[in-house]
Amino acid sequence: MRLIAIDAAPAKVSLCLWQDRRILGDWESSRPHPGRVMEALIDLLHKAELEFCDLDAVAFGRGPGAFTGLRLAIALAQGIGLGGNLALVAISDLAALAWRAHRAHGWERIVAAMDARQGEIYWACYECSGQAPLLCGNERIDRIAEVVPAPGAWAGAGSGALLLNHAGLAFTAMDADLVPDASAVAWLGALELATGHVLRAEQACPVYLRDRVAEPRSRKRHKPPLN
Amino acid sequence: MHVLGIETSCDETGVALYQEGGGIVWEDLYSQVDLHRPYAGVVPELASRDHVRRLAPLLRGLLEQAPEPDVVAYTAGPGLIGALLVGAALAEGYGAARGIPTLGVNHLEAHLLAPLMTAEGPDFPFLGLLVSGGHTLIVGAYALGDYRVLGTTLDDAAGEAFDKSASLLGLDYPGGPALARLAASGRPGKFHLPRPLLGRPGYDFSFSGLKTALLYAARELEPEDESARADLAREFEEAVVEVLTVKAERALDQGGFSRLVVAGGVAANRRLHASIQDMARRRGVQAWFPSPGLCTDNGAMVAYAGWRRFRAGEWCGSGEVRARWPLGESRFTHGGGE
Repeated sequence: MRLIAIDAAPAKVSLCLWQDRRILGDWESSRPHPGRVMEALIDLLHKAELEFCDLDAVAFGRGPGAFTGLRLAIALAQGIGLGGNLALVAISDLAALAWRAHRAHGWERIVAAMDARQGEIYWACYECSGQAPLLCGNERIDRIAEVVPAPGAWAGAGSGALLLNHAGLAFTAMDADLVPDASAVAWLGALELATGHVLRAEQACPVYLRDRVAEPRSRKRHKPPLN
Repeated sequence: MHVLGIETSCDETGVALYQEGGGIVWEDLYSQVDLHRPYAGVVPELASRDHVRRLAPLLRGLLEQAPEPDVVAYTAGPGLIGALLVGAALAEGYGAARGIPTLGVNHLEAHLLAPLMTAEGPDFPFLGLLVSGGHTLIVGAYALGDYRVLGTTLDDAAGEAFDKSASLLGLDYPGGPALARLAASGRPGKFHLPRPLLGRPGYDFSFSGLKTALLYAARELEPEDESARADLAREFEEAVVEVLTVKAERALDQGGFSRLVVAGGVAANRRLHASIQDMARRRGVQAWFPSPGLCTDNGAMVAYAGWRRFRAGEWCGSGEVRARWPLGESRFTHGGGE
């Protein structure tokens, strides 16, 4: 099984070329530039002596995360999917973050949390004892002070874990520097692909969690008239 | 050769396929007007979100029913950066997977070239009057990629002034067409609004003062006086049309152009159309307007501009998008490894 994974939920964009549980090549950049990403992707394929037609799917980080990054990853995946007639696989960036924490530290009960700005975090609880993180409850966006994980001891992963820790939430262990990346998206994407959980390009959509981004005019206070 | 055009610079998601020698053979467009109506204006984040929802289904429809594209052109700017990025990323992904060239098109150039798409369209050189919700420009177009911006707006674009003034008159979004409809029943000469910068030399525009003058006049109206509201809308429309027409005439005169192209969303305004045609006839100049569907943002003009650029030897494919991309800086990247 061979796939390419794209993730841009954090402030960087990353790629991973994946085949049969191993990484054939990866790349990352802090610049969300579609042309450069595609050049890097083609370079990864060339180095592995592969073509787009040799791929089975395109996995992408579907969020939550930086809005522009999510759309970059998804639109690139949609374009590749339409152009290469490839299936798409959508992976939660919180699950990818939890999976990275599990792989790096061996933790099994993880609160994956990312700074969502405006005093809020994206977060979810995962149990990672099997091949993939198991979501406990829902992915949520909450004000930092309102985050209450399920009972029990949890390790914290991601920038949001540090914010929670500062707000008084105790973790058994913490890695605040971890971010989701394309290698985790590839790993989880391969599992999803194996179980047939695939999308057509037009079915792919981001999960923002923060859905209220503007106030309708009727709810705004009207500006006073001139003078 | 078939060129795919993708437009996502603001609040329209458009795809089209231009066939060399055959014109537009497929076109589809999704307008976000209903999405933005409750906000009385385009919300950039919502626009970006909707593009990523709409673009892939539109493109799937094209790919299933139209010939396969040989080149992908997409709007690379100017526009809303998040919205542009969606089109650029999908275009670059598609182009790479198909192994075909991609190129970023200047949105203003695409508008300007739209009337050239038909067999009866003008040749270079011509004077361009580009009037939309985001831009108001007078441009000398001497050859493909050889443009000189002669004048631009110092504040609001003409279409923006229409929309904001419509809002001040209590009209629904999008206000420009609603204001024009209201103005159609208004009587001329019942109000007097200023004609900004008309008496000054040069080709620049300013519409914010006109909008403020309308606000002051609107505050004096009786709330139920629909007739007076229509009269005020009529005066506003006439002021904008007069300024645009006189400045265009001045540029025709001083630049020695014999052809005039009017493009952009405001080009669909009937009073502007009549005023420009009248002026052009008087001067013995030929004026071209795009068909109504090509006045607003669309994929067809992007496909056509992309074809013109590609045939001239350009392919960019950098995937770069620019919120600001002046027409005069319209880049020209030749193929062959440059």
